[in-house]
Amino acid sequence: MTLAQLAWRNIGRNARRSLITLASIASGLAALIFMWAFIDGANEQMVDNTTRYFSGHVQVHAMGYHDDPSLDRTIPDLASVLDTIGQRNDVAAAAPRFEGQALVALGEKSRGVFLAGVDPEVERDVSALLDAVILGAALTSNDGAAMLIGERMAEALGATVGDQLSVISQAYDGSLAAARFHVKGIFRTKIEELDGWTAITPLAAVREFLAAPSGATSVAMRLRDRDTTTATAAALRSTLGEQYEVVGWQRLLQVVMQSVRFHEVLGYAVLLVLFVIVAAGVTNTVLMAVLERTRELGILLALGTRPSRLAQTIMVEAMLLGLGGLVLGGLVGVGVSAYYGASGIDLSAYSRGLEVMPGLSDIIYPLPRVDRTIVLALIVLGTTLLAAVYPSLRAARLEPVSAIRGWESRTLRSSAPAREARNARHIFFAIAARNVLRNPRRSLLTLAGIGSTVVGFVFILSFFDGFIDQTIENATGYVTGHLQIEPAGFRREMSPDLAIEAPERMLTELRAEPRIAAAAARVQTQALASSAAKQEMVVLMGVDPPAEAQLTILDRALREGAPLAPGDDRSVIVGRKLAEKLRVRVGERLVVHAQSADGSLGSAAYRISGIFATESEAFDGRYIYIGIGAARSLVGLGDRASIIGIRLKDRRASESVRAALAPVVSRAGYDVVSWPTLLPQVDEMDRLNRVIEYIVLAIVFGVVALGVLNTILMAVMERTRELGVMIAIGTRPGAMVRVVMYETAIVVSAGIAIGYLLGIAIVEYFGVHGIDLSFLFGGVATIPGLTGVIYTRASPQTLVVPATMLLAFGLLAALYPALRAARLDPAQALRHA
Amino acid sequence: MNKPAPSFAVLTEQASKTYQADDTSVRALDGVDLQIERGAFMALVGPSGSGKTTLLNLVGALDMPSAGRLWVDGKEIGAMSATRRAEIRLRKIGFVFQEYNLIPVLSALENVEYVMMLQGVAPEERTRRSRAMLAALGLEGLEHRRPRQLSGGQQQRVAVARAVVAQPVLVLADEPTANLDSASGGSLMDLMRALNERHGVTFVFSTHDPMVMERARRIVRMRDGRIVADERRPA
Repeated sequence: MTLAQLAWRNIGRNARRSLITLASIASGLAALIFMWAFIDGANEQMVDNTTRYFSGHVQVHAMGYHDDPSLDRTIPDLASVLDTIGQRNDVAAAAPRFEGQALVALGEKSRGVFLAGVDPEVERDVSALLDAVILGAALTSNDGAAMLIGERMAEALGATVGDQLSVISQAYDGSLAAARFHVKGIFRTKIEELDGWTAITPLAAVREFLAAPSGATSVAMRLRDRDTTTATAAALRSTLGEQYEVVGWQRLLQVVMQSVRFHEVLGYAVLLVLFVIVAAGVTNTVLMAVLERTRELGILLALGTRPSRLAQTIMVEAMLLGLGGLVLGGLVGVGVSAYYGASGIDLSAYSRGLEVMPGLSDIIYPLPRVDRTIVLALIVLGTTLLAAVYPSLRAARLEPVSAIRGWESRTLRSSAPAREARNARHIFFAIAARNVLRNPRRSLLTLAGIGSTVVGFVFILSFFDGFIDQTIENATGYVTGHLQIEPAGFRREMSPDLAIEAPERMLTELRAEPRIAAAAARVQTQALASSAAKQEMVVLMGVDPPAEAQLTILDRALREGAPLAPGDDRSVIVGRKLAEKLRVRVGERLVVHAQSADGSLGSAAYRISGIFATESEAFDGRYIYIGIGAARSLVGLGDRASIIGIRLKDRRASESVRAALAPVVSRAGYDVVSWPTLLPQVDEMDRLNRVIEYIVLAIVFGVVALGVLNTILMAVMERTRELGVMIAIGTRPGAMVRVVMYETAIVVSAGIAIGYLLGIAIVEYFGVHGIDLSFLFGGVATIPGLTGVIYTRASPQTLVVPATMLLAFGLLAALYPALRAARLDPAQALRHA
Repeated sequence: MNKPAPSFAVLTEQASKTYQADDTSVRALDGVDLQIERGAFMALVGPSGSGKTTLLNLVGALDMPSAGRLWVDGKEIGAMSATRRAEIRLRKIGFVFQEYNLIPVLSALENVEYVMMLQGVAPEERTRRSRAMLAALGLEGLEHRRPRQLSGGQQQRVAVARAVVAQPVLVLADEPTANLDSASGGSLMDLMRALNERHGVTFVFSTHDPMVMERARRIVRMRDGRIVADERRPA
């Protein structure tokens, strides 16, 4: 008989145990496959949607345009570029565009937007934006001064189809161009950058508006296969020569790339922990399945089986089970992923959490991939085999006689007389407790399995909690504070005539409130910042330096120069990214134009006194800070302020303080909003984090339940005869259930306790030392405070409930073996070897 | 015969047991009529497969007859639920097994006390009786040892103590001496005989051991699931 045959029969002989082992391997693999497919699906969707809606896969510009888009850098020879692209088979379609920045206004509301002129005929083959129109109609080539705007922009401007928008921009020749465009349609892509900040007009209309008779700033392409992006871009680069730059979607859509990266980091962290959990489960099961057979292996040895052959048999057995688990797990994993890949997983309940990922809709389509499935399968198989090495070596070294008598005789210890159990309830507990100690190896394995699982999820939950907590702390620290009092509608319109009267009185009242740590008045408005070289749309913040220092920590991000001095009305602080864009340095002048409260245009010049840099280039490229007095005079606010920022002593009280302030503040006609409203991205990350945590926990529960089922079932099967005796001498079935359940409760509670202790110790360690992931997403964050060094943080509210549920799941899993024990037929059980 | 005379500890009426194994059915017990009076000291004898253990399982309410009827202490076992049968075993029957079968995680004293715990006997009473019983069986000083720390003969005496201490209607012993050397086996039998004579405990053995048969006062011989001889001897 071959090894495989022997191993196969061993597997078949104890079908139940084999099934559990198989199930444990298969479910682990299936969970891993599904998880990875989910991550891939989400990423794929994100990239696909964002490239599809507007950017395309590859763009050609004049050299230098991507980093410094200006009308000076139009494509030198559009026709030849289009011709070159047209000859490539890997490009499905290409469309020229003329892009620029513009200020769009309706009535008193205005907004700085990205203006793109497109050729509707060819654009449709490259991007889907023209087809995303939900109100009105899409553009056609015959349209004159018509415009499509995003849904969010329409809301912000209060514009609807048919409205005439005033559009102002710097023209090709440097003069100021102004024109009126009518809103022909409103589109919805669910991508904030497009819906909120992009306006589309016919190519001809933009050329006319900007006085650029021909040409384009970019040519966008859709490839037949997005995976060829890098290769196609490289090929085009060499064909087109040094006058042109060819930029792939990875660089075009840095925000998306960052999200993909972020998503991947989170995803891989989850995968890693899941893998540890699955490996612990599989190892436990395989070890157990072999260790329990000591007696039988002893008999094989006694009959003359060579030790090496015995070891091989066990390895082959593990291999067969592993392969079976792979096939089953692969089928289930790929099947479930493919099923949801087709039907989608509706996460609309967490849709706000998903919005942090641009281009992600409420429905995620997992994307199972063959290569990843194979990698995971090999890893799980490797784990299974690795788990079988120890027991097979052990089996080879067994001594037949003691093995046949069972290992117990070797682990005999002269136990001190235990306290006698005093009544029937105590005796069942005593039996359970002593049974746990009786097979220390099995109990330790189970403990280790449950323990490492708990360590895994404690760590990952704390990792995410710490990450989110830090991000919230930093982001509220840099930008918003915890609460903000603002005139109703302020954030939507950011209009200078919306202001808070007599902010000083309100500040005095607020500062008297014991839960408030600091409050400061600020002026906030949209402005145009110009250097000698360029101009950029910015958010202008007017702050009172001493009060502001209590509210935010921006001074800490200062990299060059000095912070604003109190009463200094001549200085401005800018972000490093903006300084680069405007090509200015500390000490140089910056002219700022902003709309006044009375509707006129105010402008003033400031000296750059300092440059700050946070983790977010988007923030660093968009915010400038001047003294509140200077801002008031620029915008014509008198002694009014746009908003009041509030820092609380305890951030978690945000909602309750907000609710307490709301009635008072609303009487004066103002709103009070808390940081989740002010920093929706952060809040959304927080929500997304919850989703991930639920997924991790669901898998943890499954793995623990299987592990417990396996262990306790083995314990029950091994003790069949003994349990039979208990039944024979009159123990009631209900009491038998209790014995098994007590035993489970002891092992599972101990495992959970150990896991928590160890997990929290690890979390505490990294809570102090931090985990440096800055190499993964440094610099490209969309919000300041998205930190690269993560300090884990164990938070009771995320950790207590799972512990309780874990115990419940363990007990639930033990119910089957317990009932089995209760239903044993004593006559048969007594005959059991 | 619906109301068996209570003087019988066990009564069977055409008791049969058929085991179904795959396609073949094995008739392990074939229409056995047997009366076991209180105070009996009886051995069931026969070759392997003769039905001794099957009969013992039925009498011990561990199993149910496929046909025929069976009473233990006047209660019919036939249609009882698992829980009811557990109750019968708890209150009326003591077991001694070939392989001792003590609960390995309980001490000698706890093993003896176990049945009384299930019965709800008060702790002091229970401990007093268990200690007395262990002492009577020569196990004084070994009360706190676990089964593994006792010799085979000592374990079997603990098993006898456990079977007898709660004063059951009858004690069933399946090959009680099979795993013991002859000296231990002999002294164990003498002990049981003494319990039978002094306290009137009813004992039923299944056995191959001539030493057991020598000491039995009634020998029921079985073959192929039937009783083939029933010998009584003077005390």
